Parts: sequence; structure tokens; C-alpha cells
Amino acid sequence: MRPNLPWLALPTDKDDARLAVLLASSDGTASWLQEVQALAGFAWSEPRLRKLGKAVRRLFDRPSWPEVATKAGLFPYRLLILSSETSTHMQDLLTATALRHGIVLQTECAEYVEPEMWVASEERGQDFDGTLIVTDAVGWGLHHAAHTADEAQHILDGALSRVKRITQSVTSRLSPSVMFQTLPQEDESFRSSLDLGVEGTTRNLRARFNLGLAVNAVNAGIMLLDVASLASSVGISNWRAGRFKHIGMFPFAPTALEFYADAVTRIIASRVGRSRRVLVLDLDNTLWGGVIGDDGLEGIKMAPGNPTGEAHRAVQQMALDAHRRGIVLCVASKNTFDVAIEAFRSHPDMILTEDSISLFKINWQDKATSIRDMAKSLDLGLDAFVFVDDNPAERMQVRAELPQVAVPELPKDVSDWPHVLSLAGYFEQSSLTAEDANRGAYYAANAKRDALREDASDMRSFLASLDMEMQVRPFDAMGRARIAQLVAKSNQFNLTTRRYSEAELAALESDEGVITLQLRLKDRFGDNGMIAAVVAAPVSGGMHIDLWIMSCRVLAREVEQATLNLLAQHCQERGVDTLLGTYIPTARNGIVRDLYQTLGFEKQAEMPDGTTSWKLSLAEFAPKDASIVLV
Amino acid sequence: MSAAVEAADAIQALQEIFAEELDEVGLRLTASDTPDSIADWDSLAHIRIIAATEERFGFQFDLAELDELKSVQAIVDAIRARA
Repeated sequence: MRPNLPWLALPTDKDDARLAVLLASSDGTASWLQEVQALAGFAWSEPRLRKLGKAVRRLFDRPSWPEVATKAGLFPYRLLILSSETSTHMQDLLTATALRHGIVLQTECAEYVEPEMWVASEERGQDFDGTLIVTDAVGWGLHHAAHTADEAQHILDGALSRVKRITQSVTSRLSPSVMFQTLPQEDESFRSSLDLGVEGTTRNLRARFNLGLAVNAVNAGIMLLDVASLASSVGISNWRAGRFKHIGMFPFAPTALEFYADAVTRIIASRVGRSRRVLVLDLDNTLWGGVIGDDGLEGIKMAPGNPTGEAHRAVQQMALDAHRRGIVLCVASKNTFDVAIEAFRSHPDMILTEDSISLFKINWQDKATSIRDMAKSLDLGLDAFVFVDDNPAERMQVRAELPQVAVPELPKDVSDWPHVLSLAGYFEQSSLTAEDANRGAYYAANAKRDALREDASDMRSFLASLDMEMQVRPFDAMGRARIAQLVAKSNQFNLTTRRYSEAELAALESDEGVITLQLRLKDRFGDNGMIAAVVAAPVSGGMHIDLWIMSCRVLAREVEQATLNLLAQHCQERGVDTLLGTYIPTARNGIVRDLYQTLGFEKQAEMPDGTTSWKLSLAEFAPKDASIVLV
Repeated sequence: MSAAVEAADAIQALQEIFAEELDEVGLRLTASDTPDSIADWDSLAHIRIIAATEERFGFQFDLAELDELKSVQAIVDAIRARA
């Protein structure tokens, strides 16, 4: 069985003809891309979808494809897939499916690899926005049962600490984001019903690994592709690769590809801020059974115990749950306002309350117009909207008028709606805690991408074109938490690896003798947030730089030069004429080994452990060139 | 499949499958074609072609047989052996 995507509408003959024309005339312009995108939301056959993906992938031959994507109102995203199994067969479908979610997805695959080995041997820089790690149970060492509880724990600890190591090396070397997959429960052993609770059985190992991975994802801002949940939605019998594992090392059934691709790309969409945020609901035969204008308040069905009532109650409950998770609810209904609103005000069986609905559009105008009005009032793009209506004619009208709005196709039987809506996963949340950090990361990735495209000789005009602004403040209570985080996390651009507690940072805030700098950087791609911190304290012979850390997201942006200029200026204001620095090598801070030399410091000494000390006389110091405006 | 599949019909059907899976409208297929003679007939395309052929003719190739299906003639023979 092909687990298709039941929430997608079938294309009409007109759509079909239009796509054929577009695929034959692929010219790689933004308007072509927009037209293809408007059609990408239909349920195309797999070969058709693959062709669509191929046509879009032809864009990637041109280095300017990210600009074309942006111009078309879409988000360019580069994904690296590091897979222990076959993955090149996914690429066309991934690109085609990503378009459905507003992403122009370029992919590269490294197959049959161990992620650590590959990352360690790879010379690529931060060329990617995200890295998907596809590792099966064999790759994680979880395919055999453990003999004792201790052994089980040992195996799990090993696998989960590998997740952390891989995250660290991928994010420091390849891409700001990383995506891991949970393992489906396809352990093909003679199972016993108790296995889940028996420590060390393959079922137990997988379940614990999945839980550990998921908790880690929530806490560390890792993207998680819950393959276990996907597989259980379609059933393991439909998910498992079967003979395709032996023929072509496929990770799962080729028939499940569209379903898998939708999940991957919707997570990416959410990561870059493109997930849906508004649920627009019809009333008659959607929130309740019957038509309130004809059947009256007493005639509509939503009572517990009544089959029709129960089915509609489940839809209401699902909407209420979404509301509690931060989704905006709206109502669009063709009704007389006073008649329909009465259900919210006085029907005892309503689950949704009037308060839970942000906007009511109960009138006789067409629904596309109502939704357009909502977008205006909420100041949100139409691509944030999902529209649920039992009436196929209304759905078709909204789809035709507003292709950006997601309009799920719904089964005739309302009992099946919650399942279909949950498969569609409209309100994907890719991270709960690290949102700001990630936003910054993808802006930075954008900028780096631009940088790579630029001719190196033209670096200065590239930097100037970034319109960088740096905000400088001494340490203060407001910035303390973020400084502490930066101090704890910076391992690469960190000259001394000196760690400060929040209490120590607080003490520095009021220490007049010490120079402290917290630096925030903005550019035309957005706010990078706080990206550097410096502490310089008086010693005999000058000011010594005790701490100099910077986020690697802003490497090669002349932030170092601007920082030195600031330090020199602060020293001179205090009448200090010498700046001293120390580099203490660690396994990870090799990138700043030559920083002081590059900035014109003179080496004073070198210890056997590689620690070097440096001196800069400020008497003849000329400020370094830096394309950064201080504010 | 009630009657024996004629070789010509099998090639015709395969031609449609190849055209679809390799995204080459108007592709002409002959019995002597192999992965060497058709540029896009790589191992991944091969798997899709096999799966589409199975769907079209309503049977599943034997696992052991899959290694042998490296020419149009071999696929045609395997189809006709089932009819």
C-alpha cells in the first residue's frame, strides 16, 4: 500500500495541463518558480512529483538560485544528508515536497557513511543550513539485544553521547542546524509482549533511545524527525523497506517516500519560521453536525453520546488543543451572525468558547475574502493559515483564490478528520527553547552563503554591502544571562577558555578598573544578537585581555578588528598605552592561534604547552579597517 | 493475466514504464537495450523500473531473479514466464 497524503487535494485537469506546460518550459525565473509552487500543494503521482523536483533542481546549476528563490517569496535552504543507507533516491521528491512548504530545497547526499568519520575528513566549510543524520539501528549499535541491564545502559549512553558529539561537530563545521531521526519499532525478532519493559530487549533499547533523543532535541534545539511516529502512522508493514533493503539499501519502503519527504520538509519550514499559525474553522457540519440556520440551536448535533455529535466534538477538542499550544483560532462561516454566535454563547455542549476564537467572520461574503481580511487584521501572511471546511466547493474556492492557504482535503466521515489533520502536521514546531538562537543562525548562514559566492578579492565590498552595525555596551545585568551562555558555549573563538560564573560576571559589572564589552551585531539579514564579549583587566605593564570570545557565526566579518579598535580606544581613554594578550591552546580553539599576530601584536613568549603571550603598543596604534558602524 | 503476453506487448509496456521513470518522453526501447545503452538507467532507476513493472503486470519478481534483469530482453522473458 502506498501511504499517500490524504490531506492533499487531487489536481484538476486544468492544474495537470498547467504543470505539464511549466515543466516543459522551465526557465528558472522567479515567476516560473512561483507558478510551480502554487501547484506543488496538490497530490501528484510520484513520477510527476519527481519530475517537478528535477525541474526545480535545475535551478541549482546557477549560483544565483537563492536570490531567485527569495525573489519568488520562498526560502532557500541547503540540506546535507549524511546517511548510513541509500539517500540519493530521495532528493527529487524532497525538493518537490519542500516547495509545498515554501522552501526551495537544495540537497547533497553522502551515503553509506558514519557521520563522525565523514565530518572529520571533510574539508567543506559551513556550506549548509542544515544536516540530516540518517542512521539506522545498526549504525547506533542498537540492533542486538543487551544481556544485562548494565549493558543496556552502557549501549544507550554510548549512542546518546554520540548524538551530542555529532551535533557539536556538525554545528561547528557544516551547518548551524542538525536533524536526527528516531528509530521505528521494526525490530524483527521473536517478540514477547513484555519486551518494552524488559531492559535490554531490542524494543526496549529503541524506545529508550527515542525518548533520550527526543528529550535532547527539546533541550538542545536539535531538529527531530520522529520516524517512529511516521512509521506507526502508516503501519510498520507499509513502512519497512523489505527486499528493497537488500536490493538497494533503502532505509524504508520506496512507497513511503512522499510521506517521509513531507515530514522532513515541514520541519525545515518550521525551523525557518514558515510553519502555519492560524486555524480557520467553518461552523455548520464542521464544528457541529447540521445547519444552525435551518436546524436551530436545539437541532445542531454536538452532544456527547451521539455519534455525529462525538465526531464533531473531536474536531472541536483538536482545535482547542491547538489553541492551548499557541495556534490562533478563527471562524469563517456563511451564516447570520446573531444566529450562529448563539451556539458559542449558550449551547452547553460547545467545547470551544467565544474567548478561544480570535476573529469571527460570520457573514455572507465568500470565504477567501474573509480569510484575506483576517490576514490583514492579524498582520500575518496568508501562508500562515489553515482552512478547515466540510464543503468541497468552499475549499476549492479558497484554494483557487488563495493558493498560499493550506486547505486540507477532508474525508466524508468526520470521524476521520482528526487523523487526517494530524497526519498533515500543519503546526509543526521544530524547537521550543532555542528559537532565537536558531533564527540568528540561519541569518548568519545566509550571509555566509553570500560571502562564499563573492570573489575573495571583492571581500571588502561584500562586507560593506552587509550594512553591519555593532552595538557596544559594558557588561550589565540585562546582558548577563546571555554573556554567561556565550562564555560557557564558546569553544572555538576563545583565546583563554576562561569560564566565568554569573556571580563573577555580576562582580565585573561594577568593577570600574576593568574594561568589559558586550557586542551585538546587526546586518541586512537581521539581528545576530550578542556575538562577542571581552574582559580586560589592569596588570603591571598594561591591560591584559582575560577573556575574548566570539560566536563563529560572525567569523571573517571584521568583528575582531572592530573589537580591537574598541579595546584600544578604551585603553587610551584610561591612559593605558599597552595591551597584553594570551592564547591558551585547547583541542578546539585552533582558529584563534594566530589572531594576535594577525592583529599586529608582538609575541613575547611561548610556553612548552603552546601558550603564547602577546603585546601591542598603543602609542602608534592606527585603528584597523572594519566595515562596521558602531552605534 | 489470462493469455500469454506477446513479446512486443511487453516491450511496449516497458517502453511506457521506462519513459515515465526515466523522464524521457518518446524514449524508444528495444529488446537489446541494457543499462549501458540507456544513460539514465542507473541502479536507483532500475529499482523503480522493477517496482513499476511489478505493479503493471501484477506479480512480484523473485529475489534471486532480480540480479538477472539487466536487459530489456531479460525483463521481457521474466514477464512472459509468468503469463
